[in-house]
Amino acid sequence: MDKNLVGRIRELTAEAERKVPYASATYFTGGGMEIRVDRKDEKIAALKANRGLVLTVFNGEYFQEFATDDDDPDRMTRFFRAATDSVLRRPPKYEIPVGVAQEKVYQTEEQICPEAMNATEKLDLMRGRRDRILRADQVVNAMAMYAERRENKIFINRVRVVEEQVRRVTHFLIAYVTDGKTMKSNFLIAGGTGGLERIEVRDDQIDNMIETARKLLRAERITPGFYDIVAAPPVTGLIAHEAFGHGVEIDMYLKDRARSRDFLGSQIAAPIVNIVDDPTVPEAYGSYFIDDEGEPARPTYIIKDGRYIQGLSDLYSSVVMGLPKTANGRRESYERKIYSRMSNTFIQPRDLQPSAIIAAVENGVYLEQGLSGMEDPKGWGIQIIVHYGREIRNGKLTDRIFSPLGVTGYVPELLQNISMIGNDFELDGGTCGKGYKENVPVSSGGPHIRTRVRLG
Amino acid sequence: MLTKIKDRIAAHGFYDFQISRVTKKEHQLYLIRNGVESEREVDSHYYEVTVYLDQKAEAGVFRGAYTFFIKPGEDIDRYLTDARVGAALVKNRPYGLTGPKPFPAVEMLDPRLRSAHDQAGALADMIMSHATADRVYLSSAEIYLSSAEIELSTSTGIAARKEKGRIEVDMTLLSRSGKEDAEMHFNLERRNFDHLRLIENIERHQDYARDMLTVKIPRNHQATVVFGSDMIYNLFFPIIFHGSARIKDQGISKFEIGAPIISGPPQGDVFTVLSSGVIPYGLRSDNFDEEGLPGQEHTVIENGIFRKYMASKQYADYLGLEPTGTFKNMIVKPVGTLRPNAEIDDYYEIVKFSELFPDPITGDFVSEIRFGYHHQGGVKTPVKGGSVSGNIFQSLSDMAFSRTEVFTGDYIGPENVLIRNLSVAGG
Repeated sequence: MDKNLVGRIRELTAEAERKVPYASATYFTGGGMEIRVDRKDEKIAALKANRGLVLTVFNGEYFQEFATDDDDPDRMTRFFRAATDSVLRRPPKYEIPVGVAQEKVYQTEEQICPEAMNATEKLDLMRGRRDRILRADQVVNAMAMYAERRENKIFINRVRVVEEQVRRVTHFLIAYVTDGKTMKSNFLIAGGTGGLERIEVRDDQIDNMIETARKLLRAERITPGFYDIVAAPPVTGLIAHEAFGHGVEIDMYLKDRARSRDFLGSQIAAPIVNIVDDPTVPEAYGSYFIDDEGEPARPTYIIKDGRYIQGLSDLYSSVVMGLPKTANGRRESYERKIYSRMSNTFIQPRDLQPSAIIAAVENGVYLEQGLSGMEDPKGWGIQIIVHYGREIRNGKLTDRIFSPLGVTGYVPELLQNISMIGNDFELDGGTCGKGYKENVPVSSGGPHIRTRVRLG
Repeated sequence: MLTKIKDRIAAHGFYDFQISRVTKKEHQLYLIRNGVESEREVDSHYYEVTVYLDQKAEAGVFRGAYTFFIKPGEDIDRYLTDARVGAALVKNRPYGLTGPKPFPAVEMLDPRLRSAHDQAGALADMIMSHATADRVYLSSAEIYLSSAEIELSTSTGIAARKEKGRIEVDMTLLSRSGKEDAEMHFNLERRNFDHLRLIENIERHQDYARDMLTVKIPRNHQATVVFGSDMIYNLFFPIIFHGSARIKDQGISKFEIGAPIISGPPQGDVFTVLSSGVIPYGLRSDNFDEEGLPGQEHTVIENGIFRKYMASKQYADYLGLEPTGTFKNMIVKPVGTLRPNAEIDDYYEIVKFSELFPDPITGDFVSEIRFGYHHQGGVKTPVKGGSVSGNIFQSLSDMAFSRTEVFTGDYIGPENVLIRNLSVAGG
């Protein structure tokens, strides 16, 4: 980051604080590129960077923000001053904590730096993986996508100048198969924070993905009802994230929109359940070093031994609610507001082999690959869409496959019904919205778990 | 800056270009109960540049393209050097760019958005003065008022300018009775303040919020389900997908021109679907799109028969089709004959799904019922939970549409569509 620009922003923040009780600035820069190839077309493009400056001012009652993508130093100075002048100071209702004094630069570790491979090599890698899919029987199309992003951010207030340089890579493969009458698709996702080591995909993983796509051609719709299920890590993650995580984002408490507020300190899950949100997990897609309010990243135990311990907070919510500030104040970009958001959210593993969990189910469904979910913090309902699941009969997987499946239910009931937790652990990366907007990179996951849900 | 970008593009030896200069302003206002939670002003100004490079090889001529974003005052040569490398690697079949054509005058900016700060305040006052009603009060609201000016310039001679606006209100009402409480969230997106019908929408959702206090879970069975107008665009998305020229070119589309999109004889209402980019203040209206194609209206499905792929210039060239642009606002007609209360005795009316995104390839869908009603024997019971699942393509032959026509921002058509024999998972 340009030191002169940082110095200028620091001066302007101090200048703003002569008028208002608290001011901070966050400056986002970065960039990236994407490659996409399918059977017919190819694309290489730069990604639109989240590049802009946000001046955050507390007027005594609430935060006002002024955001611009113009980082010319002189125009930025005029912008800052005009913004500060427009703020009407109000009698202070809250005191905004400035945090611990710190000046530090954090940087993602990369084993294989993305620049180690040039654009030609990356394009050829994608073409090769696409061609492997296209060569398989019954495949009518394939898509391979790669994206790399540099996300740089510097947060400045009167005591803190903290900077992070995060690198995220994403890789996506899709196979489209047909039996002449029906067409189905399946996908494989890789990625995380780090370098090209995060997009390594084995040939057998690609082949399994294609084989599952073929099996989906004979998938059945499930008879609606309650089922014993074993959730594979991607589905466990959706349960932790959609069913529970969103419900403990405490900006929803301010709005009286989250049922979990009534359960702080209470036993809400089976005692074997621990749920954690941790932005410090190495290489995970949702990891960062500081949140968008300059808070150093650290794990938050949300549920410990089945008891709801702590929610996830942003600065304003934590101040108004009098609850601890966690490292979860995040925004989609300089253009959007900060909300309480998850990072890497997961159920902690315990001691059972996944095969032992499946073996313990007499009749049930193994939910293998999740698709999406939607939160319902007030009703504490669940909606999770599962790409496919397999029948379990007498502790064994059968050839029957169901797709798609809708998981619905009541969150505390689902969490209380968790009766077995595996010793494996996986995180799946993706983007998460607050409702239908405000997308930020996250991951979710955990081990195999056994519980009981309604499927449709 | 525009002249400089064009000069440098020529100096770097590109064959074609498209440049969009984008200037955006947004005012955001966030309310909690009867107070302000936060207020934001956002300004953005950038150029989106796509450059094209044709290359001859043994296998024929290929066209490569590369897109990047640049801010005023930045060093264009650095970007163009990367673009030259990227475009030279991409080997696509040749296609042309759109040439200059007359553009229709389509209203896309409510002039009141020029005073967004004042308008946000007026909307906030309206929300705060109308949100509270019997057992119902405001949880929170978010108001987004934006306007954008876009200038398109291409190597084929297009030099055009347009202004667009967007008004979004995202609102949550809470209801309480004794120890029971519930929420009703809704979102309105329009381009004209008059189309928001904010008070009417608040009052309607107040009724829903009250009824949320007495919800029951639906039971497991095959049922008739009535979908509301704000779900129809998403419900029909697989039709848009298979009607896309790109998807046809990829070998994925199941539609053929002149063939019916339903299998077997129709049991319900036959319908027509149009794509329209010229509806005044339509959310997907455009007097010209990102390729410079003029706003157009096309019949995609006519009385159940597939008529036209929606084609960008690139895919129109590949398939020898008319360049129509991608699918814009949806018009469904003719309006059918459904009157659920009068004609069907047992059905679910879905007010809100948690989210409804059918698989675009297969048309399969499954979604949780966030709120709705079960109508049976003249009794209307609020329901929540469980899910509705089915397949849109299998349902096309047995749909019925309501008589009333509505406009929901990107959709004009029947207020409801009824689908028989869907699977409802409940208690």
